[in-house]
This record gives sequence, structure tokens and C-alpha cells, in this order.
Amino acid sequence: MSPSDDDLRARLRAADPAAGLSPADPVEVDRLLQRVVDADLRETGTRRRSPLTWLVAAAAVVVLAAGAALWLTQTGDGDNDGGLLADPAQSSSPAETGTSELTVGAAGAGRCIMPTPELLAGQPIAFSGTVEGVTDGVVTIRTKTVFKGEVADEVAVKGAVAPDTGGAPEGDPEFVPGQDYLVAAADGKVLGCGMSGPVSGQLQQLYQQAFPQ
Amino acid sequence: METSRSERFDALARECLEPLRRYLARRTDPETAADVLGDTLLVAWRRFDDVPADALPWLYGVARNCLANAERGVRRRARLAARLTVEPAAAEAPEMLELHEALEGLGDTERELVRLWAWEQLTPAEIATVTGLTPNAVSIRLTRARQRLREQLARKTGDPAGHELA
Repeated sequence: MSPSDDDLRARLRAADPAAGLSPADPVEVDRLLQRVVDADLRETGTRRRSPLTWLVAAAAVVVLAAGAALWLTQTGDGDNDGGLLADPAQSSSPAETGTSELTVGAAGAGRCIMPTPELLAGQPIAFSGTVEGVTDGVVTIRTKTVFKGEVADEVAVKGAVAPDTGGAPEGDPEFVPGQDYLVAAADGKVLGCGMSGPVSGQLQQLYQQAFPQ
Repeated sequence: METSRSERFDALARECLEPLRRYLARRTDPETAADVLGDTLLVAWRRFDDVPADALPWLYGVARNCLANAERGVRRRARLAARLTVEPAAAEAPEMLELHEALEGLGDTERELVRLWAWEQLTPAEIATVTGLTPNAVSIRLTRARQRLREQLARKTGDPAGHELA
């Protein structure tokens, strides 16, 4: 670091907006930490009561952008395809919200190739988000970070099946409410086979390599 | 087992709490900072097994994502209000105002690199953990960002300081 870097850092530090921040109230800290653990345990309890873990088979993604919903549908030879999608947060019909509809064919079923950063980077949609819930087979994901493509704040993934029905092909991700996911999609389909799933060190590394900021 | 996990989380959270509060206070308004602190700790608790030994840069990265998420909501609700609540105390001293304006002149990523370097005082490797860039990319972009910041400041004060060691 050069002397001018030292000067610059000193100047920036003098303008640190957190310089006057007083330490947190210890009582508040206790409460906050307790709330964090309690909130999670409550959700875990809910999770255990009902089959809220879902597999997404031949899933389709709805991306809502700038007030207009883009409807993606799935057709083809899938045995439990999603069909039409709806954003559960909105009651208006597609015609009322000016949605457009795309029809796509099913990808080759049953075969996974090793995911690479290059393969992932070539997909049109990639984002991270938290699963907010599963209602009537529609998984709602609250978007956190968009790596690629047009992705709205909320994404609905249609076509989820309960894990015990055996309906989802191997390689498709399962979505658990409250958990964070990295999701890639192409042609209206969530891509399984190691390209979408719960946030983990390995998957995160794959996304970081595919989408360096 | 569960007790020991929550005890370890408690210790980690207390150790990193103040740096995280400062990180957020530097980037958003107090209310959003408080919300995002809670979100960040919740993620840390749920993903406790993924937390690396050098936890703080990783936690800054989580806070950065949570803040981006929160600000999506803020933008949706009230773009203008959000803008007005940022930059606390900047108006009080002309020197500080100048610096904050110069920082605003940088791109989002460059600004964050400079802030992580100057305020959180992280190394390029640690900044890489926070931002997801490679350490090499951090070093290159940080050098460029510092130079641009110096030039912006020189332009504001009308002296050629920004070029003296270019």
C-alpha cells in the first residue's frame, strides 16, 4: 500500500459513519439472540408437522418483472408437469396483469452431467432466495440475489410433489421452507442435477465461479 | 448436542455483533440495520455448520446479501424515503460530505470494495470472501477504485492530489 493509500484510508476513516455508534444494550443483545434461536425452532417445529419438504419435478418458474408477469409453462413428455403457473401472492388472473406465456419442451430426462461453472454461467436465469412456503404444490421463493436474467422479487415454482410420492426424478432439488437456495433455470424449468439446491459451500463456490461479481 | 451448538452460536454472535452493527450502520438507516442484523444472525444460526473459522468476513458476506434483500423491499415501498435516510451525519461536516459524494461517484462494487478496505479494514483475501470475487480481482479493482476516488476528491477540492502518485 502506497503512502497515498494510507492517506486515503485515514481520510475515509475520519468520515466513518459508524464512528459514533455506541455499543448495543446487553439486554437487547440477549433478547435478539434468543429471538433468533426461538424463531428457527418454531419454524422447525412447523416443518415436522406436515410434509412441507417438496420435490420439484419438471418444475417451471414464474418470473415477475417490473409489474408484468412472465408466464412460463411446461409441456412435453414429463409425467407430472406443472402446467400453468400462478403467483400465489397475486389474485389477479394472467390476462388482467398482462402476462405473456411461453411454452417449452421438457429437457432430456433422467441424465445428469457434472455441473461446471461454464455450464451454469450459460443458463439464462440464476438467482438465490429463501423459500417462503409451499402452497398447493407452488413453492414461493423470495429473491435475494440475481446473478443472471430478469428475476422479480418473488418467484413461484410450480409442480412440487411431496417426497413420499416418488414422483420426482432423481437430481431435482427439494425445497424446504425457511431455507436459502441457489436456483438456475432454463426454458422455464428449474435445473436440478447439482445446479440448483440448498445453499452449501460447494454450490456457493460453483455460483461464485460462474458469476464473479 | 443442541445445547452446545446454541452455546457456540451465542459466543460467535456476541463476538461478531459489534463489527456487524458497524458494517450495517455504514450502509443503511438504523431501522433497516436492526432488521438486517436479525436476518444475518438467523442465517448464521441456520447455517452454523458452514461458518468458517475466520467467521467475520463470511458474516459480512451474509449481512451484505441480507441488506441487498431488505433494500429490494425498501425500494419497492419508498424509493425516495430510502434515499433520504442514508448518509447519516454527512451534512454536518463539509469534509465528510465531500468524501461521501466521492464514494457515491464510484460503481456499487467499487464503492463496497473501498468501504470494506477502509472501514472494515479487511485484506483483499477477506474482501474476496465477502464479495465472492477472487482475491486477485479484489486487488486489481481496489487499486483502480482508490485511484478513481482520489481523482474524484481532487476534482472536488480543485487540487491535483489525485494524480501525484498515479
